[in-house]
Amino acid sequence: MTSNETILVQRAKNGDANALVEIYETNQPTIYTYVFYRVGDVHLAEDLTAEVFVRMIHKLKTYQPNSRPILAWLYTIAHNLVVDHYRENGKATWTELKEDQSAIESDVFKRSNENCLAQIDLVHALKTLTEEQRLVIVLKFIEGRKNIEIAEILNKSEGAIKSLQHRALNSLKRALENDEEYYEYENEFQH
Amino acid sequence: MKTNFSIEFELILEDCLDRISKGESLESCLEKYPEQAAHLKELLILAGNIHQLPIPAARPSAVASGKQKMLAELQAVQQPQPVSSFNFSRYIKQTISFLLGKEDFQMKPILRPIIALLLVCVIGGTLAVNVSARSIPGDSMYSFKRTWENLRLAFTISEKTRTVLEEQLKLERHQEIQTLIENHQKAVLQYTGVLRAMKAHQWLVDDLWVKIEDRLIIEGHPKVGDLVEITIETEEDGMLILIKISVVESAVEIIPGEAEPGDEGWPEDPSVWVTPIPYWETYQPNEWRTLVPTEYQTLVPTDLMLTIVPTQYQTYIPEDLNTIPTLVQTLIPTWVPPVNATNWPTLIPPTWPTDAPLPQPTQLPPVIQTLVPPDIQTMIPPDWPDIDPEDYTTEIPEFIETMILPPNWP
Repeated sequence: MTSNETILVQRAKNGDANALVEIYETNQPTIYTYVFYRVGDVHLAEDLTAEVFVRMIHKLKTYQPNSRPILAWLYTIAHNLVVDHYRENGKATWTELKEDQSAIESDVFKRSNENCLAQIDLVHALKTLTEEQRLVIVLKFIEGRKNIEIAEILNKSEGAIKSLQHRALNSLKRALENDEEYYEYENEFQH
Repeated sequence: MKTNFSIEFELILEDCLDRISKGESLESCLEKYPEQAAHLKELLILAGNIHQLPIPAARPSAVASGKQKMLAELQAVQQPQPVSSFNFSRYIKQTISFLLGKEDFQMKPILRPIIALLLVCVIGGTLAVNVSARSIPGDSMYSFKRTWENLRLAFTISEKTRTVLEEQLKLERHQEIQTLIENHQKAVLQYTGVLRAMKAHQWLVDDLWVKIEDRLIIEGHPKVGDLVEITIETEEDGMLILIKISVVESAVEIIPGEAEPGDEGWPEDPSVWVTPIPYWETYQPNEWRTLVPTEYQTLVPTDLMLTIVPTQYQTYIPEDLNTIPTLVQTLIPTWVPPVNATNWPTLIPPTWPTDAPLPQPTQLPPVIQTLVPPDIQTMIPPDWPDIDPEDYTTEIPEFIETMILPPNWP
C-alpha cells in the first residue's frame, strides 16, 4: 500500500466524504468488473457493487491500512456479498444468460458480437476457478494489471501470482474442453 | 509438489505473455520454446481470448447512484444516535402497555407515578406473599402472611366467597398447629372459631381442645356457640394453652319451647341454628339411615326418605340448650336396631305411595312368545274369533288355554 493510500484511508476512517468519494471512484470500476464476472447480470452487478461501498462505510473502522491494499479488502467484501447473494437466491445466473438472447445482445458483449457465445462459454468457465485463480484472471487478462500489482492486491509474491495464473489457465482449458463435466461441476458448486 | 519442469513452464508462460503484450506474435513465442509449444499454444490462445473479453462498466446513473448511496450511509453513521434518556413516565407507560397487551395504551402523565407505586406494591407484595406462604408462627414472614390473609378477608365482598376463604384459612391454621406440634415447637398464634364446649380445664373451639390456665385473659362473656378469637400457645409436648379469648360474635340465645323455626324473630341464617346443637344429635339421623334393611331401602323412593326425615328437624333445639354434654362419646348411639324390630322408625315398613301408578308389564314373558308359531293364522279353526295379528302379543295367553292344538303342533 502506498503512503498516499494510507493517508486516504485514514481520512476516510475519520469520516472525510471526499476521501470516500476518491476511494469509490478509484475502485468502483474494478469491483464492478469482478462482481459482473461473478454474477453475469448488469443490474445485479450494479446493485452489489453499490452495496460493497455501503458495507465499506460500516467496516472501515476495522480495516487496518498496513495489512493489505484497500482494493484487496474491497474484493473480500465483494466476494462475501456475492456468496451471500447466491446463498439467499440459490443459483447463479450464467446458465440463464447463455440461453437468453437479450442478455447476449446486451451492451457488455455487443462490441465482440461475432464470438459472444464463445465468450459467454469462457465467462461461464471462469466460475469453475477458485477465488484466487479467478481474481488473477480478471486482474491480469481482463484489466491488464501487472504481476507486481496483483501480488500486492492479493498479498502474495510475484512467483505465487505466476503459479496461480498458470493453474487458472489450465483449469479454464479443462473446463472448456468438456462442457458436460463443467455443468456437473457447476451444479455441485451451487449446492 | 511443484516440479522443476512446472516452475520452468510457469516462467516460459509468463515470458510469452509478456512478449505478446508487448506486440510480439504468438508464432515467434512458440518458436522460442519448441518443446513446450503445443501446450503453450493452447494456454496463450486461451489467455488471448480472455483478454478479448469486454471490460464491463456500470451505467453512469448506477455509478452516481452507488456513490450517493455510500454518502447517505456515511451521513447516517455520522449522525449521533439518540441516546435513550431516563424517562420514568415512558417506562411506566411501556410497562402497563406490556401488561395490558395494548401498544397504543394512553394514560394521563399525572397518573403514571401513582400507577408505578401501585405496581411496586403489587409486584413486591406478590413476591412477599409467595415467599411467606409456607411460613408458620414464629417465622419472620408469618406476620406478613397473616396481614395478607386479613387483607384478603377485608376485600372479599361476596359472602359466599368469604365463607370459602374463611374455611381455607381455618385449614391453614390447623396445618400450622399440626406442623408446630410435629416439630415440638413453641409458638403463639391466633385462631378464630366457635366455642363448642367449656369444661373445667379444657375448652373446645371448633375441634381444638385448649387447656385453661390461670393466666387466661377473657374479654367479654364467652359461652358455647359464640364465635371467639383465641390466642393459643403450642407447647413442646403438643398441648395447646389458651392465653386469651375474646368474643367476636355472640350466639343467638334461644329459649327452648318459646319459638320455632319460622316464628317472628327466628334467625334466617341456618348456620346460627346449628351451632348450639350438642354433638350426639348430629350422629343420629345419618347412623340410623344406614341401618334400614337393604330390601326396604330399595323399595323406598329416595324422595320419600327425604320427606320422612326433614332436614330442618335436624336443627331441633334441645331442651337444655346450654348444657354442656360432658360425655359426648357415650351419647353416640351404639345400639343397632334389629331388622325385624316392631318399633322401627316410621320409615318401616315403607308403603308404596297411593298416588303412584302400579308397574305395568309391557311385554309377555319370553317363554309364551316362543310357543306361538309364526304361521298361527293358518292353523286357527274356522270358528276362531277374528283377531288382528298385531294384537297377538297381548291376547295370546288366554287363547292358548282354550285352544285345541292340532296333532302336528310343534
